[in-house]
Amino acid sequence: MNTLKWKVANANGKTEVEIQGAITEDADLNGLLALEGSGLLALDLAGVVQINSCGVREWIHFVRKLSDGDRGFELVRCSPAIVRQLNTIANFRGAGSVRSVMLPYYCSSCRSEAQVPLDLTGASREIADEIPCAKCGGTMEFDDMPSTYVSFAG
Amino acid sequence: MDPKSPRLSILPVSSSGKSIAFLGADADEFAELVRGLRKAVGEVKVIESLAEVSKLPSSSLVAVYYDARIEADRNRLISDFGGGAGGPTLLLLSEKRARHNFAQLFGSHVLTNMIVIDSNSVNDRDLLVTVKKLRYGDIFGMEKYFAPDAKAHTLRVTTTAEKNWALNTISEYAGVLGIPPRLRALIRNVSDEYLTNALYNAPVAEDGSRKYASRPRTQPVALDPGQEIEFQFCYDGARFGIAAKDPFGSLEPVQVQDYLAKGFRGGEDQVSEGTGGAGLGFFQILDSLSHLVINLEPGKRTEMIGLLDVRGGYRNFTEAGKSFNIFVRQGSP
Repeated sequence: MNTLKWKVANANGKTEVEIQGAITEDADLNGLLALEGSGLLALDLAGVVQINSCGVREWIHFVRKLSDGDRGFELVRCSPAIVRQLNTIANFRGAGSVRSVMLPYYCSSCRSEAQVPLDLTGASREIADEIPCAKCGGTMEFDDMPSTYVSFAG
Repeated sequence: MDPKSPRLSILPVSSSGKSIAFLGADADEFAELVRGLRKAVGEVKVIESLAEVSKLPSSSLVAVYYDARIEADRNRLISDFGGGAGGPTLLLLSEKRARHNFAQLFGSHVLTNMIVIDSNSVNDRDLLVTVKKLRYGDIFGMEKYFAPDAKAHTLRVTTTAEKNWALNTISEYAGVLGIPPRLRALIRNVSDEYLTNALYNAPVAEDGSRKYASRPRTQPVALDPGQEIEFQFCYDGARFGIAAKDPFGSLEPVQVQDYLAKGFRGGEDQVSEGTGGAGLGFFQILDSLSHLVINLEPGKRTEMIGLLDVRGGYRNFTEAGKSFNIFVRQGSP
């Protein structure tokens, strides 16, 4: 049962891959290694919601192969699930750079969640404590440890 | 907490000859906690120094408020309680400080029991359950951590296909309860690791070898007839509980401690190569829970219990400390 899906697009000399789902033992990432093209590979990880322990190993193997290859790669729009692994697993990003992350917000009034992108390549890496809740009109608060979202920038 | 005035409270239990020692920063600050313990297990006697721990009988339980200890005392705990063989049982009480030393505490095999004590309040239930389990040996059952009216749901799992069904069932249940998606993902992740461990790592053959441990997790397995994993989940409005009980009892505490130490060290050996598990399961489990409890009856059964505080969002969960217990029931009929 493959729990992972991806969509490939070529733009601006890059190959952009939008990855969605759960990275588990069933995730076959070898297909991504076989993608044609020689430009930078941008892995959009905003849709990755879960990674289990075997999935971490699959991912480590994947980025190790990418790092050993000639093609550069970067991690963009890293979901909170990915950020968590970046902070706890050695070599989770391999030789790739982390370009942007998705900041999680939570509304305690209606218990909804939202994510807002943060560009880590710019001069400002400020994380807003609060944003308006689009669902109930209340206030959403940043829902994680702020330092864990900017500590691996660069 | 002021670490300058360490005091040690001893709670002897005359009926069993066991005693419970409480080492805090100031006994007055823990008056409520001590009252609760006294109610549960017996009298309280205060002594003044860490050195007196060595005079306690080996059957004692020594509860130490870790955050108030100075570095020398923390190192002494490692040397006095490390190795795991003999001597009193150590129960660490900590708000967050111990979390920063998990690699050392697990790696030295000192840490088998730790309960979070919040700066504002003590989770009486978890502390009292822990103390009673250590004293009386009645260790199995997730219901001990919940009020009597919190109903547990039970599924029976014997194959990889049933594991996936169980994961979908618990995810759907957590969704119906309105638990936010990120916390739901943690619940699913813990359930996944529990069931994978019970299906692949726990089963042993008659010669004691592990039947499926080195099998790729992409290859399905089925337990033998008569064997099953009891998978439970429970919610009381504040915490979500997950439990998986296997009929093998093949897990060893030192294995758990070593895997956790490796995970928290974050070194080059953090992820295991090879065809079986990635060696990260326990690390991922503890990282995803407020409280991990492992109950072992060697050769008979292993129960993994996970408790997750779902009262607020993810930040509320991740900023809090983590409780951890390994209980071993020995010599049962």
